[in-house]
Amino acid sequence: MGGGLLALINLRREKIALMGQILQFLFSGLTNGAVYAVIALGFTIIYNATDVINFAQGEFVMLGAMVMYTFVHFLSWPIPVAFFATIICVSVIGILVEFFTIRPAKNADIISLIIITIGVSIFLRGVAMMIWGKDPVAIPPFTGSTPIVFMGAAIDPQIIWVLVITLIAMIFTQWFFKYTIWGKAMRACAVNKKAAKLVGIKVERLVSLSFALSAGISAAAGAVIAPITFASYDMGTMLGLKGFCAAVLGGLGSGVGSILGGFILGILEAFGAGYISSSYKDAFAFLILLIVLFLKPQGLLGQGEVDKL
Amino acid sequence: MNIHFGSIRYQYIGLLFFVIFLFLIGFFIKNDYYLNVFVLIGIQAIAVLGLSLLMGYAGQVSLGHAAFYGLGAYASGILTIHYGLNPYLAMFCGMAISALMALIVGLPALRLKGHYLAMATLGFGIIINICFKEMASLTGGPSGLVGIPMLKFLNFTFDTSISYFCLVWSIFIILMVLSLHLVNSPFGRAFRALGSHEAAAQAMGVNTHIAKLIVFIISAVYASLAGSLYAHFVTFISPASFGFICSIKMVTMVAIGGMGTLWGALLGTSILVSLPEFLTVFSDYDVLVYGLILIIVMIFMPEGIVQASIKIFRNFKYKETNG
Amino acid sequence: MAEVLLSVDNISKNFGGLIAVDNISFNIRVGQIKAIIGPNGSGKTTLFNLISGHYQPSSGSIYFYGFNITKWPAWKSASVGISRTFQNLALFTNMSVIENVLMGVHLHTKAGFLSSIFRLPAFFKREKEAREIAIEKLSLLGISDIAEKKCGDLPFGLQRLVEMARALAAEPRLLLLDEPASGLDIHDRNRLCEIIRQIRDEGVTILMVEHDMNITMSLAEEVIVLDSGKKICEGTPKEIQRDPEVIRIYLGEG
Repeated sequence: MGGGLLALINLRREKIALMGQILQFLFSGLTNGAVYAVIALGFTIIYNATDVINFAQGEFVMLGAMVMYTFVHFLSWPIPVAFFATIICVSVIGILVEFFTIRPAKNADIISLIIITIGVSIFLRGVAMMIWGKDPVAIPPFTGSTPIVFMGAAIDPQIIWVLVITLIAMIFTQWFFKYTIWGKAMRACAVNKKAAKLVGIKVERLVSLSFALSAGISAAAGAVIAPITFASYDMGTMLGLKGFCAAVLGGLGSGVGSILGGFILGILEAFGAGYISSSYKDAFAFLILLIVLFLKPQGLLGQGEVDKL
Repeated sequence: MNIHFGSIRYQYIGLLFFVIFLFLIGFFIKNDYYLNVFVLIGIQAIAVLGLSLLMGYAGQVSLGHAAFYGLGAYASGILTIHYGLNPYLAMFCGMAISALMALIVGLPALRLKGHYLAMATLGFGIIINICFKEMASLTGGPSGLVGIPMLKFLNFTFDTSISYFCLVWSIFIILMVLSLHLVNSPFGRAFRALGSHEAAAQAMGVNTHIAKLIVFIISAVYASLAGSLYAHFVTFISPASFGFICSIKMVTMVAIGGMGTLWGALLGTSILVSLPEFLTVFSDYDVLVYGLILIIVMIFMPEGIVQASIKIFRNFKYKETNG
Repeated sequence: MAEVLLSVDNISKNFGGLIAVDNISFNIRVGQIKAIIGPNGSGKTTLFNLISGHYQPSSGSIYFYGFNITKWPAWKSASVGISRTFQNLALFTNMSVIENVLMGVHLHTKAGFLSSIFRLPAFFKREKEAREIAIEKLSLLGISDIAEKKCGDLPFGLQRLVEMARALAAEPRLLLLDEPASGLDIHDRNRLCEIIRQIRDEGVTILMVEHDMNITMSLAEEVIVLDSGKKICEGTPKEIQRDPEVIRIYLGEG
C-alpha cells in the first residue's frame, strides 16, 4: 500500500515536473514567437508598400535595443519615457533609410533593391559597432527580475512585458490598417500602386510611413526583448532572418499570416530545441521554412499568384 | 561567317589581355601578402563565375551559395584529414556532393519563383552552416578544421604564394573559357532566354525546370571547387567563412560587377575582395564603408559597373563623333 | 475536308472564383487560318495560354493530331509543333535578333553539351546550319538586315516581326498569333497580312486573336466569337457578321 502511494506521489511529481517543463518551453516559444511575429509584421508592411524584401529589418530591432540602452543607461530616463523615445527615434531612422536608399533607386530591379537593403544592414551594423562597441550590454528589466512561479514553471516577468507589448504592437498595426485613412490607403497601394496613384493617394508619403511604422514596431520588439537576451551590435542578423522565415511561413504579404507564422515558428523552435537538440535550435526555423516552401510555397495564409503573360 | 562568331572573338582578346595582366602581377609582385590577396580573388572568382551563370544568365537568385563553397572546403578537409584521401579525389568528391545537394534542393526549390527561390536557398545555406558548426566530430565545430594538406603534383608542392597563384588563375581561365563557350551555345541561349522571359522560353521548347536545375548544379560545382581550393590554400577552415554573410557577398559581387556578363563577376569579385585591404585605413569601421559603397553602387549603377562603364564609354564616343 | 489538327473539347479555366474560359469546344483543320475575336476580357488570351500549355485547364481536354496534350507543359507542346507569339511582346531582350530566332531553330537541332563547351567541330557545323535557317526565316519576313542588332533597341513594329520569325523558326504546325497587328501602323498591317498568308501557304495552320476587324475578316476562313469566357458563335466571316448575337455584343459594347 505504502509503496503504491509513494509511487503515485512520484508519478504526480513527475507529471508536475513534465507540465512545468512543457510550460517553460511554451513560454519561451511564445516569447521568441512574439518577437518573430512583430519582425515578420515589419517585413510585411514594407513588402506590401514597396515590394522590397528588407534585409535591414533585423537592424531596426538591434537599434531599438541599443537606443533603449542609451536612454536608460546613459541618460537615466525612466523606462516608459525611454521606451517611447526609442520607438520614435528608430522610426525616424526608418524614414531616413527609405529616403536615402530606396527612394533614389526607384527603377532598380528586385535583386538590386535586395542588395541595397543588405548594404543598409551592413552600414547600420557598422555604425552601431562604432557607437556602442562590440561587447554585449545589459538592459535592466522593466519591473524587477523575481521570477513568477506558474504551475511549476518559473517565468521571468520581462516575458510578460514582451507578450503584452508585442500584442499591443500587433493590435495597433491591425487597427491602423483597418480603421485609419492612412492604413486603408496603404492597403490600396499594396493591391495596385497605379490605381492608388490615380485616385490621388500620395504613394511616396505612404512608403515613408510604412518604413516608419515597420521600424517602429521592430524597435519596440528589440527594446522589450533586450533585457532577456542582452543587446549587441550584431543581434539583428539572426532575428531579422527568423522574422523573415516567419513572414514566409505565414504567407508573404499577409499581416495575420506573419503573426501566426511568428508564433508557430517560436513554439516549434522552443520544443525542437528542448526535445530534439538545442544545438540545432537555429536550424529548425529554416528547416520549417524549407518544408513550407516546398509543400505550400504561398505560405499558410498567402495568396497564390498567377503568371501574367 | 566570321561576323557570327565575332562577339566571342572579342572575349578571347579580352582574355588574352587579362592573362598578360596576370603574368605581370605574378612577375612583379614579390610581396607574398599582396600575392595572397590575388590568390583569394582568384578562388572567390571561380565561385562567383558559377553564381553569375545562375543569376546573371538564368535569372535565379541564390542566397545560400556559401553552402556549396563550404561543402567543397569541408569535403576536402574532412576526407583528407580523417580518411587520408588523395586531395584531388577529395576535391572531386566535394564537387559530386555539392552537385547532389544542389539536385536535392533544386528539384523542389527551382519550381518556386522570384523571392521564394531566394528564400529557400537562404534557408538551405543557413542549415548547412549550422551543420558545419554542430557536427563537431567531423568538422571540428566552431573552432574549425586544422591541418588540411597542401596540394601536390608529383613531387611539386603548391606551398608558395606564387605557385598557388598560378594554379588558381589557370583554373579560373579554363573555367572562364568554358563558361564563355557555354553562354554562347544553344545551352547558354536557353539559360539566357529563361532569365529574360520564362514563358517565352517555354514556348521555344525549353524545359525551364531542367534548365534551371542544370545551371544551379553547374554553379554549385564551381562553388565547391573554389571551396576546395580555398581549403588547400589556407589549410584551415571554420564555419564562419561560409555563413550567410559569405552568400550575400557572393551575390553582391555578381551584382556590383554586372549581371549578364562574366567579366562583371571577375570585376565584382576583385573589387569586393580587395576592398577591405584598401579600407584598412578605416580600421574597425571598414564594414561601415563597405555597406556605404554597396548602397551607392546599386543606386547609381543598378546594372553593374561593367555595363555602366560601357554606357559611359559609348556616350563619350557618341559625343566625339557628333561634337 | 482536311484533317483536324487541333481539337479543343469542353475546356474551362477558372482563377479562384473567376471563370475566364467556360466550356469552349472547337476544331482547327490543317492549313486553315482561324481567328478568335471578342471584347476585352472575354478570355481570348487565356484560351491561347491553355492551348500553348502555359496554363493548365480546370476541366476539358485538348487534342493535337488526335493526341491528348491537355496536361502537357508549354515546352512539350512547343516541341511537337505548337508555336506562339505573345500579346505583350516577349522577346529575349538580352539577346540579339538572330539569337532570338536561333532559340526557335534549336528546338530541332540537337546540341551536345561537351561539343558546345569545348567548341568541337560538330558545334561549329551545327551552329552554322542553325544560323542559315535563322537568316532564312528573317529574310522571309524581310528583316535579315537587322540580324545582329540587340532586340531591346528595335522599334515596336520590328520587334513584332522578330517574334514572328522566332516562332516560325521552330517550324510549327500550328502557329498561335496573339494580336499580331496591335501597335503596327497601316503600312505594317498590310505587310503583316501578306506575311500571314504566305506562312499559311507554306503549310502552317494559324490560330490568331486580333482586334482589327479588317485583318480578321480578310484573313480568316473561320471565326470564333467569345464573350465573357463563352463561345457565342463560330462560322465564316460572312456568317459571323450576320449573327444577331455578335451584332448585339459589338454594338452594345460600342
